[in-house]
Amino acid sequence: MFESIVHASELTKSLFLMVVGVAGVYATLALFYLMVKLLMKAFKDHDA
Amino acid sequence: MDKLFVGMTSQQIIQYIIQHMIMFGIGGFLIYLAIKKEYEPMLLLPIGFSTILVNLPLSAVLEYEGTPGVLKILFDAGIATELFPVLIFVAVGAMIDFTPLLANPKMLFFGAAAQFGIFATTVIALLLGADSLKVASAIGIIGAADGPTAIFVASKFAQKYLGPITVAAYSYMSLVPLVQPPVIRLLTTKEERMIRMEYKDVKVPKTVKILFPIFVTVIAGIIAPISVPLVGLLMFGNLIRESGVLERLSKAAQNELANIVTILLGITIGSTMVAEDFLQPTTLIIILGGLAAFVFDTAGGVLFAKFLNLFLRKKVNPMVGAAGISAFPMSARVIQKMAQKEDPSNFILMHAVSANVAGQLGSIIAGGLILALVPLLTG
Repeated sequence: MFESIVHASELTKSLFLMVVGVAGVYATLALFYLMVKLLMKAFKDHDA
Repeated sequence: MDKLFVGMTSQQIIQYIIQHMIMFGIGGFLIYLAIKKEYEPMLLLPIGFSTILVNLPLSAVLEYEGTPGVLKILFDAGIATELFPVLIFVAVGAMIDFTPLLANPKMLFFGAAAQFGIFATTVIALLLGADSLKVASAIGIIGAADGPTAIFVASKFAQKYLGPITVAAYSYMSLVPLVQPPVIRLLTTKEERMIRMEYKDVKVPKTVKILFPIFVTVIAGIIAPISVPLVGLLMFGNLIRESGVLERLSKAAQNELANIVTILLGITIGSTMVAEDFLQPTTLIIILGGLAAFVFDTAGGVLFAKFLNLFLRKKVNPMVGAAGISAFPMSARVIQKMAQKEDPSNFILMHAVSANVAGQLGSIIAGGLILALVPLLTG
Protein backbone atom coordinates (compact mmCIF):
# COMPACT_ATOMS: atom_id res chain seq x y z
CA MET A 1 0.00 0.00 0.00
CA PHE A 2 2.80 2.37 0.99
CA GLU A 3 4.50 1.66 -2.34
CA SER A 4 1.43 2.89 -4.23
CA ILE A 5 1.31 6.07 -2.14
CA VAL A 6 4.97 6.81 -2.93
CA HIS A 7 4.10 6.77 -6.62
CA ALA A 8 0.85 8.74 -6.20
CA SER A 9 0.35 12.46 -6.89
CA GLU A 10 1.63 15.09 -4.44
CA LEU A 11 -1.95 15.86 -3.42
CA THR A 12 -2.68 12.21 -2.59
CA LYS A 13 0.54 12.08 -0.60
CA SER A 14 -0.48 15.19 1.34
CA LEU A 15 -3.88 13.64 2.17
CA PHE A 16 -2.11 10.47 3.31
CA LEU A 17 0.24 12.62 5.40
CA MET A 18 -2.79 14.32 6.97
CA VAL A 19 -4.45 11.05 7.98
CA VAL A 20 -1.28 9.35 9.22
CA GLY A 21 0.07 12.54 10.79
CA VAL A 22 -3.07 13.34 12.78
CA ALA A 23 -3.39 9.69 13.84
CA GLY A 24 0.30 9.63 14.77
CA VAL A 25 0.05 12.74 16.97
CA TYR A 26 -3.03 11.31 18.75
CA ALA A 27 -1.37 7.92 19.20
CA THR A 28 1.86 9.41 20.57
CA LEU A 29 0.07 11.74 22.96
CA ALA A 30 -2.18 8.85 24.02
CA LEU A 31 0.99 6.97 24.96
CA PHE A 32 2.15 9.99 26.94
CA TYR A 33 -1.26 10.08 28.63
CA LEU A 34 -0.93 6.46 29.74
CA MET A 35 2.64 7.10 30.82
CA VAL A 36 1.65 10.10 32.96
CA LYS A 37 -1.25 8.15 34.50
CA LEU A 38 1.10 5.30 35.38
CA LEU A 39 3.78 7.61 36.76
CA MET A 40 1.24 9.53 38.86
CA LYS A 41 -0.12 6.25 40.20
CA ALA A 42 3.31 4.78 40.89
CA PHE A 43 4.65 7.85 42.68
CA LYS A 44 1.50 9.32 44.22
CA ASP A 45 2.90 9.06 47.73
CA HIS A 46 6.26 10.56 46.81
CA ASP A 47 7.31 14.13 47.53
CA ALA A 48 5.03 16.68 45.85
CA MET B 1 28.19 50.54 -7.82
CA ASP B 2 29.71 49.91 -11.27
CA LYS B 3 30.07 46.20 -10.45
CA LEU B 4 26.45 45.97 -9.35
CA PHE B 5 24.80 46.74 -12.67
CA VAL B 6 27.37 45.13 -15.00
CA GLY B 7 25.61 43.34 -17.87
CA MET B 8 22.12 44.52 -16.84
CA THR B 9 19.68 46.26 -19.17
CA SER B 10 18.06 49.48 -18.00
CA GLN B 11 14.80 47.55 -17.46
CA GLN B 12 16.59 45.01 -15.27
CA ILE B 13 18.21 47.84 -13.32
CA ILE B 14 14.82 49.46 -12.66
CA GLN B 15 13.36 46.07 -11.65
CA TYR B 16 16.32 45.48 -9.33
CA ILE B 17 15.89 48.86 -7.67
CA ILE B 18 12.10 48.39 -7.22
CA GLN B 19 12.52 44.89 -5.77
CA HIS B 20 15.13 46.05 -3.30
CA MET B 21 13.11 49.11 -2.29
CA ILE B 22 10.18 46.75 -1.55
CA MET B 23 12.47 44.63 0.62
CA PHE B 24 13.68 47.73 2.51
CA GLY B 25 10.01 48.54 3.07
CA ILE B 26 9.33 45.01 4.37
CA GLY B 27 12.38 45.19 6.65
CA GLY B 28 11.22 48.56 7.95
CA PHE B 29 7.68 47.24 8.45
CA LEU B 30 8.96 44.29 10.51
CA ILE B 31 11.01 46.68 12.66
CA TYR B 32 7.88 48.86 13.04
CA LEU B 33 5.78 45.85 14.11
CA ALA B 34 8.48 44.83 16.60
CA ILE B 35 8.93 48.26 18.19
CA LYS B 36 5.58 49.98 17.85
CA LYS B 37 3.20 46.99 18.07
CA GLU B 38 5.52 44.76 20.13
CA TYR B 39 4.72 41.76 17.87
CA GLU B 40 7.39 39.18 18.79
CA PRO B 41 10.09 41.91 18.89
CA MET B 42 12.88 39.49 19.80
CA LEU B 43 12.60 37.83 16.40
CA LEU B 44 10.95 40.39 14.13
CA LEU B 45 13.41 43.19 14.91
CA PRO B 46 16.58 41.21 14.01
CA ILE B 47 14.82 39.70 10.98
CA GLY B 48 13.68 43.16 9.85
CA PHE B 49 17.15 44.66 10.17
CA SER B 50 18.76 41.67 8.51
CA THR B 51 16.28 42.05 5.62
CA ILE B 52 17.69 45.53 5.06
CA LEU B 53 21.29 44.28 5.40
CA VAL B 54 21.02 41.51 2.81
CA ASN B 55 19.26 43.70 0.27
CA LEU B 56 21.89 46.43 0.29
CA PRO B 57 23.84 46.66 -3.00
CA LEU B 58 26.27 43.74 -3.38
CA SER B 59 25.06 42.21 -0.03
CA ALA B 60 28.51 42.18 1.56
CA VAL B 61 27.05 40.45 4.63
CA LEU B 62 26.36 37.42 2.43
CA GLU B 63 29.36 37.40 0.12
CA TYR B 64 31.94 39.87 -1.08
CA GLU B 65 34.44 39.19 -3.85
CA GLY B 66 34.16 35.45 -3.37
CA THR B 67 34.56 35.54 0.40
CA PRO B 68 31.55 34.50 2.53
CA GLY B 69 30.11 37.33 4.58
CA VAL B 70 29.24 37.20 8.26
CA LEU B 71 25.58 36.23 7.77
CA LYS B 72 26.51 33.49 5.31
CA ILE B 73 28.98 32.09 7.85
CA LEU B 74 26.34 32.23 10.59
CA PHE B 75 23.78 30.58 8.29
CA ASP B 76 26.09 27.73 7.36
CA ALA B 77 27.16 27.22 10.96
CA GLY B 78 23.82 27.65 12.72
CA ILE B 79 20.91 27.02 10.37
CA ALA B 80 22.25 24.61 7.76
CA THR B 81 23.54 22.44 10.63
CA GLU B 82 20.27 22.99 12.66
CA LEU B 83 22.38 24.07 15.62
CA PHE B 84 20.55 27.32 16.46
CA PRO B 85 16.98 25.94 16.47
CA VAL B 86 18.10 22.94 18.51
CA LEU B 87 19.83 25.16 21.08
CA ILE B 88 16.64 27.22 21.33
CA PHE B 89 14.83 23.99 22.26
CA VAL B 90 17.11 23.58 25.30
CA ALA B 91 16.14 27.10 26.36
CA VAL B 92 12.43 26.54 25.71
CA GLY B 93 12.52 23.22 27.60
CA ALA B 94 14.02 25.01 30.61
CA MET B 95 11.17 27.54 30.46
CA ILE B 96 8.26 25.07 30.21
CA ASP B 97 6.50 23.97 33.36
CA PHE B 98 4.68 20.72 32.57
CA THR B 99 3.02 20.61 36.01
CA PRO B 100 -0.47 21.75 34.81
CA LEU B 101 -0.39 19.03 32.16
CA LEU B 102 0.84 16.32 34.53
CA ALA B 103 -1.94 17.28 36.94
CA ASN B 104 -4.55 17.09 34.18
CA PRO B 105 -3.20 14.70 31.50
CA LYS B 106 -6.58 14.41 29.70
CA MET B 107 -5.69 17.75 28.16
CA LEU B 108 -2.99 16.01 26.11
CA PHE B 109 -5.68 15.05 23.62
CA PHE B 110 -6.49 18.71 22.96
CA GLY B 111 -2.81 19.23 22.26
CA ALA B 112 -3.22 16.60 19.53
CA ALA B 113 -6.49 17.95 18.09
CA ALA B 114 -5.15 21.45 17.64
CA GLN B 115 -2.33 20.23 15.37
CA PHE B 116 -4.89 19.54 12.64
CA GLY B 117 -4.07 22.87 10.99
CA ILE B 118 -0.52 21.72 10.19
CA PHE B 119 -1.72 18.82 8.07
CA ALA B 120 -4.76 20.57 6.57
CA THR B 121 -2.55 23.47 5.51
CA THR B 122 -0.08 21.13 3.85
CA VAL B 123 -2.93 19.99 1.58
CA ILE B 124 -4.11 23.59 1.05
CA ALA B 125 -0.59 24.82 0.24
CA LEU B 126 -0.30 22.18 -2.48
CA LEU B 127 -3.70 23.17 -3.88
CA LEU B 128 -2.55 26.81 -3.92
CA GLY B 129 0.53 25.84 -5.93
CA ALA B 130 3.37 25.10 -3.48
CA ASP B 131 6.42 23.68 -5.31
CA SER B 132 6.43 20.26 -3.64
CA LEU B 133 5.20 18.24 -0.65
CA LYS B 134 8.35 19.26 1.25
CA VAL B 135 7.65 22.97 0.73
CA ALA B 136 3.93 22.46 1.47
CA SER B 137 4.68 20.70 4.76
CA ALA B 138 7.17 23.45 5.68
CA ILE B 139 4.30 25.92 5.14
CA GLY B 140 1.92 23.68 7.11
CA ILE B 141 4.29 23.61 10.08
CA ILE B 142 3.50 27.31 10.65
CA GLY B 143 0.40 25.79 12.29
CA ALA B 144 2.65 24.34 14.99
CA ALA B 145 2.38 27.87 16.45
CA ASP B 146 5.87 27.19 17.66
CA GLY B 147 8.73 29.20 16.15
CA PRO B 148 11.63 26.81 16.76
CA THR B 149 9.71 23.82 15.35
CA ALA B 150 8.76 25.84 12.26
CA ILE B 151 12.38 26.92 11.81
CA PHE B 152 13.66 23.38 12.31
CA VAL B 153 11.30 21.81 9.76
CA ALA B 154 11.66 24.67 7.25
CA SER B 155 15.47 24.52 7.47
CA LYS B 156 15.24 20.84 6.46
CA PHE B 157 12.58 21.06 3.76
CA ALA B 158 12.48 24.61 2.43
CA GLN B 159 15.64 26.56 3.29
CA LYS B 160 14.90 29.01 0.50
CA TYR B 161 11.66 30.04 2.23
CA LEU B 162 12.98 29.97 5.79
CA GLY B 163 12.65 33.76 6.11
CA PRO B 164 8.98 34.15 5.13
CA ILE B 165 7.99 30.94 6.97
CA THR B 166 9.60 32.18 10.19
CA VAL B 167 8.13 35.66 9.83
CA ALA B 168 4.68 34.17 9.18
CA ALA B 169 4.98 31.78 12.14
CA TYR B 170 5.98 34.48 14.63
CA SER B 171 3.56 37.06 13.22
CA TYR B 172 0.53 34.78 13.47
CA MET B 173 1.62 33.69 16.97
CA SER B 174 1.47 37.30 18.05
CA LEU B 175 -1.89 37.66 16.28
CA VAL B 176 -3.53 34.78 18.20
CA PRO B 177 -5.82 37.24 20.09
CA LEU B 178 -7.15 38.40 16.71
CA VAL B 179 -7.23 35.07 14.83
CA GLN B 180 -8.72 32.68 17.40
CA PRO B 181 -11.81 34.49 18.82
CA PRO B 182 -13.78 34.81 15.54
CA VAL B 183 -13.19 31.14 14.70
CA ILE B 184 -14.25 30.06 18.20
CA ARG B 185 -17.38 32.25 18.10
CA LEU B 186 -18.29 30.83 14.70
CA LEU B 187 -18.10 27.23 15.93
CA THR B 188 -19.65 27.55 19.40
CA THR B 189 -22.88 28.76 20.94
CA LYS B 190 -23.03 31.20 23.85
CA GLU B 191 -24.21 28.33 26.11
CA GLU B 192 -21.17 26.27 25.14
CA ARG B 193 -18.83 29.16 25.84
CA MET B 194 -20.39 29.48 29.30
CA ILE B 195 -19.74 25.86 30.30
CA ARG B 196 -17.95 25.69 33.63
CA MET B 197 -15.24 23.17 34.31
CA GLU B 198 -14.37 21.82 37.70
CA TYR B 199 -10.70 22.10 38.65
CA LYS B 200 -9.02 19.76 41.11
CA ASP B 201 -5.73 20.88 42.60
CA VAL B 202 -3.56 17.78 42.09
CA LYS B 203 -0.09 17.69 43.62
CA VAL B 204 2.51 16.40 41.16
CA PRO B 205 5.39 14.47 42.77
CA LYS B 206 8.87 15.71 41.91
CA THR B 207 9.85 12.21 40.77
CA VAL B 208 7.15 12.35 38.09
CA LYS B 209 8.39 15.75 36.91
CA ILE B 210 11.91 14.31 36.57
CA LEU B 211 10.89 11.05 34.89
CA PHE B 212 8.48 12.73 32.45
CA PRO B 213 11.12 14.36 30.16
CA ILE B 214 13.22 11.17 30.14
CA PHE B 215 10.29 8.90 29.24
CA VAL B 216 8.94 11.31 26.61
CA THR B 217 12.36 11.40 24.94
CA VAL B 218 12.58 7.61 24.85
CA ILE B 219 9.02 7.15 23.49
CA ALA B 220 9.40 9.89 20.87
CA GLY B 221 12.82 8.53 19.92
CA ILE B 222 11.37 5.07 19.30
CA ILE B 223 8.32 6.33 17.36
CA ALA B 224 10.10 8.94 15.24
CA PRO B 225 13.91 8.77 15.64
CA ILE B 226 14.36 11.87 13.49
CA SER B 227 12.43 13.89 16.10
CA VAL B 228 15.09 13.29 18.76
CA PRO B 229 16.99 16.57 18.14
CA LEU B 230 13.71 18.44 18.77
CA VAL B 231 12.14 16.41 21.55
CA GLY B 232 15.41 15.30 23.14
CA LEU B 233 16.90 18.76 23.49
CA LEU B 234 13.59 20.24 24.66
CA MET B 235 13.32 17.55 27.31
CA PHE B 236 16.98 17.98 28.25
CA GLY B 237 16.24 21.64 28.99
CA ASN B 238 13.20 20.57 31.01
CA LEU B 239 15.21 17.98 32.96
CA ILE B 240 17.75 20.66 33.89
CA ARG B 241 14.83 22.72 35.21
CA GLU B 242 13.09 19.95 37.12
CA SER B 243 16.20 18.23 38.53
CA GLY B 244 16.37 20.88 41.24
CA VAL B 245 20.18 20.64 41.43
CA LEU B 246 21.06 22.68 38.34
CA GLU B 247 19.51 26.02 39.19
CA ARG B 248 22.39 27.97 37.61
CA LEU B 249 22.27 25.97 34.37
CA SER B 250 18.49 26.22 34.25
CA LYS B 251 18.66 30.01 34.59
CA ALA B 252 21.51 30.18 32.04
CA ALA B 253 19.44 28.17 29.55
CA GLN B 254 16.36 30.36 30.14
CA ASN B 255 18.26 33.63 29.91
CA GLU B 256 21.80 33.76 28.49
CA LEU B 257 21.45 30.83 26.08
CA ALA B 258 17.96 31.88 24.95
CA ASN B 259 19.03 35.50 24.44
CA ILE B 260 22.27 34.80 22.56
CA VAL B 261 20.75 32.18 20.28
CA THR B 262 17.67 34.35 19.65
CA ILE B 263 19.88 37.23 18.46
CA LEU B 264 21.87 34.94 16.17
CA LEU B 265 18.79 33.08 14.97
CA GLY B 266 16.86 36.24 14.13
CA ILE B 267 19.60 37.97 12.19
CA THR B 268 20.57 34.75 10.40
CA ILE B 269 17.01 33.90 9.36
CA GLY B 270 16.64 37.44 8.04
CA SER B 271 19.57 36.73 5.74
CA THR B 272 17.26 34.49 3.66
CA MET B 273 15.00 37.47 2.91
CA VAL B 274 16.77 38.41 -0.31
CA ALA B 275 14.53 40.07 -2.90
CA GLU B 276 14.99 37.41 -5.58
CA ASP B 277 13.77 34.62 -3.25
CA PHE B 278 11.21 36.55 -1.20
CA LEU B 279 9.28 38.31 -3.97
CA GLN B 280 7.82 35.10 -5.34
CA PRO B 281 4.25 33.71 -5.50
CA THR B 282 5.28 31.13 -2.86
CA THR B 283 5.62 33.92 -0.28
CA LEU B 284 1.95 34.75 -0.78
CA ILE B 285 1.09 31.05 -0.34
CA ILE B 286 3.13 31.08 2.90
CA ILE B 287 1.26 34.10 4.26
CA LEU B 288 -2.18 32.70 3.33
CA GLY B 289 -1.20 29.18 4.41
CA GLY B 290 -0.02 30.47 7.81
CA LEU B 291 -3.38 32.07 8.46
CA ALA B 292 -5.22 28.94 7.31
CA ALA B 293 -3.04 26.85 9.64
CA PHE B 294 -4.01 28.88 12.71
CA VAL B 295 -7.69 28.86 11.71
CA PHE B 296 -7.73 25.07 11.20
CA ASP B 297 -5.75 24.49 14.43
CA THR B 298 -8.38 26.45 16.36
CA ALA B 299 -11.25 24.73 14.57
CA GLY B 300 -9.64 21.30 15.13
CA GLY B 301 -9.38 21.88 18.88
CA VAL B 302 -12.91 23.31 19.27
CA LEU B 303 -14.58 20.62 17.14
CA PHE B 304 -12.73 17.85 19.00
CA ALA B 305 -14.02 19.23 22.32
CA LYS B 306 -17.56 19.39 20.89
CA PHE B 307 -17.20 15.80 19.69
CA LEU B 308 -16.10 14.69 23.16
CA ASN B 309 -19.10 16.47 24.67
CA LEU B 310 -21.38 14.08 22.79
CA PHE B 311 -20.15 11.32 25.12
CA LEU B 312 -19.09 13.08 28.32
CA ARG B 313 -21.31 13.48 31.34
CA LYS B 314 -19.30 16.45 32.61
CA LYS B 315 -19.08 18.68 29.54
CA VAL B 316 -15.90 20.39 28.44
CA ASN B 317 -15.94 24.06 27.49
CA PRO B 318 -15.11 23.73 23.76
CA MET B 319 -13.01 26.88 23.86
CA VAL B 320 -10.41 24.94 25.86
CA GLY B 321 -9.81 22.86 22.73
CA ALA B 322 -8.60 25.98 20.92
CA ALA B 323 -5.93 26.43 23.59
CA GLY B 324 -4.34 23.19 22.39
CA ILE B 325 -2.05 25.18 20.08
CA SER B 326 1.51 25.81 21.13
CA ALA B 327 1.35 29.61 21.46
CA PHE B 328 1.92 29.72 25.22
CA PRO B 329 0.54 31.37 27.31
CA MET B 330 -1.21 33.69 24.88
CA SER B 331 -3.81 31.20 23.70
CA ALA B 332 -4.79 30.19 27.25
CA ARG B 333 -5.21 33.86 28.16
CA VAL B 334 -7.37 34.50 25.11
CA ILE B 335 -9.65 31.60 26.06
CA GLN B 336 -9.97 32.75 29.66
CA LYS B 337 -10.77 36.28 28.50
CA MET B 338 -13.48 34.96 26.16
CA ALA B 339 -14.96 32.78 28.91
CA GLN B 340 -15.13 35.73 31.30
CA LYS B 341 -16.70 37.89 28.64
CA GLU B 342 -19.64 35.46 28.54
CA ASP B 343 -19.70 34.85 32.27
CA PRO B 344 -17.44 37.00 34.51
CA SER B 345 -17.38 34.34 37.22
CA ASN B 346 -16.28 31.49 34.92
CA PHE B 347 -12.67 30.49 35.49
CA ILE B 348 -11.26 27.98 33.00
CA LEU B 349 -7.71 29.33 32.87
CA MET B 350 -6.06 26.27 34.46
CA HIS B 351 -7.69 23.90 31.97
CA ALA B 352 -6.70 26.20 29.11
CA VAL B 353 -3.11 26.35 30.42
CA SER B 354 -2.99 22.53 30.57
CA ALA B 355 -4.23 22.30 26.98
CA ASN B 356 -1.75 25.00 25.95
CA VAL B 357 1.18 23.08 27.49
CA ALA B 358 -0.09 19.94 25.76
CA GLY B 359 0.00 21.92 22.53
CA GLN B 360 3.68 22.64 23.06
CA LEU B 361 4.29 18.91 23.21
CA GLY B 362 1.86 18.12 20.39
CA SER B 363 3.45 20.60 18.00
CA ILE B 364 6.89 19.08 18.46
CA ILE B 365 5.52 15.57 17.95
CA ALA B 366 3.73 16.75 14.80
CA GLY B 367 6.98 18.32 13.58
CA GLY B 368 8.84 15.08 14.27
CA LEU B 369 6.23 13.04 12.39
CA ILE B 370 6.43 15.36 9.39
CA LEU B 371 10.21 15.06 9.41
CA ALA B 372 9.87 11.26 9.49
CA LEU B 373 6.99 10.84 7.01
CA VAL B 374 7.67 13.36 4.25
CA PRO B 375 11.06 11.92 3.17
CA LEU B 376 9.43 8.46 3.07
CA LEU B 377 6.66 9.77 0.82
CA THR B 378 8.89 11.79 -1.47
CA GLY B 379 11.44 9.01 -1.82
